[in-house]
Amino acid sequence: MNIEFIYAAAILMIVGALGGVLQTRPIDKFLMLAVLGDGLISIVATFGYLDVAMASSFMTFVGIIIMMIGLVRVLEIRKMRGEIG
Amino acid sequence: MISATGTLPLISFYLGLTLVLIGSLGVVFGPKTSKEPIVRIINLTVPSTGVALIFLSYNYTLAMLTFLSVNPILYIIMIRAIIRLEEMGGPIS
Repeated sequence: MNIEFIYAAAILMIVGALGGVLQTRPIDKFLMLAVLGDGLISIVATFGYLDVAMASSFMTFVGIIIMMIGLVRVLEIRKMRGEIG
Repeated sequence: MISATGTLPLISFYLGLTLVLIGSLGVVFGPKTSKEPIVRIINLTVPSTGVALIFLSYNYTLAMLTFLSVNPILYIIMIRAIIRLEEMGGPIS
């Protein structure tokens, strides 16, 4: 039996894109972007480019960490200025 | 059972087009994008992933790797600008 792997990856990417756009809390958006990155790595591995899959997984990881650092810095500045909490 | 390995670039191309459409509409009209610019940058990840899938469907592997490598540098610059405007108290929100 031939298991079709790209359909699972396509469903994963569509779910990640819709969830990443429509969620409102930033932590939920980061989780949904992790789902989107997993779908991308799965599709690249289905094509057979395993080195590209390795490099792209590292790059999405770096991007998510950079956006998390920026989010925490903005919340610290707003808390220091007394706009929230 | 129809195998998907023959139509693999076609599925990747149309999935990339779908992601570009969803992501661009989400960047422009998404929830809370007018109040917080970080949310707009987080939504910007979705169409960039779609463009990378379109590169992959044409077997342009080097273009896809370069695009995915340049994206975090772009995020560093834009988030630095947002933090600087937030410190100055500019018209950001």
